[in-house]
Amino acid sequence: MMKYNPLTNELLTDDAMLLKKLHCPFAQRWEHMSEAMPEYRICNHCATAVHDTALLNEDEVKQLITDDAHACFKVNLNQDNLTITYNNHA
Amino acid sequence: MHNNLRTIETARSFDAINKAAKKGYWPLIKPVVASPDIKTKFAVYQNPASGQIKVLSDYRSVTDTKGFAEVISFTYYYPHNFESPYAAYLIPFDIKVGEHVWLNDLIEDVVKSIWNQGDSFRLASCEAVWDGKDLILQAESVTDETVIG
Repeated sequence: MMKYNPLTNELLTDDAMLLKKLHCPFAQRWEHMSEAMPEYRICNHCATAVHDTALLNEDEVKQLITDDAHACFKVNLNQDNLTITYNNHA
Repeated sequence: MHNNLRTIETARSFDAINKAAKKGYWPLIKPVVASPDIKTKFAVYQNPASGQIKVLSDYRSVTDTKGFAEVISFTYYYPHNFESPYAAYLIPFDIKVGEHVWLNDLIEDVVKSIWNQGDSFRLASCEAVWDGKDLILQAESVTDETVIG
């Protein structure tokens, strides 16, 4: 179960290790992106894939970041595979 | 630059404001006021044998407290700390009336999004327009609970 901190925009592992700090300088919205595959959409600004973390487990997110440190993700606060934290404790 | 907009920085201390003024910026002073509309929650659970605690922020995490007892039930609080009760947008001398700019560190408390558990989050930065005396915020309406990045 991943964790997400909405105050810092940090996506964390279950052990509270940082996976990625989410930041989009272009303020793109998920619902405005082109639907490519169930697992990702294409950003209309950057033309890069934005992966839906609701459909990924922690290891899959890690692998995507290992493959591309600038990989983009979408997080919804209510998705089933994460909980919210404000203090990044494990 | 942000989306081709000039970035306006914020100074949040006496020294930073006066230093910027010496450099030629006009510090547009604003009070730092905590909005009651910005709030997050926490609860504390404690192991009665070891004294170790867990701090929860999500009702869904309560299922992960086996062996722990609630010592503080879910309580809302204002989650930000700013170093000074005043701050300033640093206005460059050559700004034009009607110019759209990007505020990197918003001083005003504006709600960015509301989570369906009741927590509401602060907008960190946004676009604004200089009207010759003040910056008019162009904050989007409250967004959903989805984050991209």
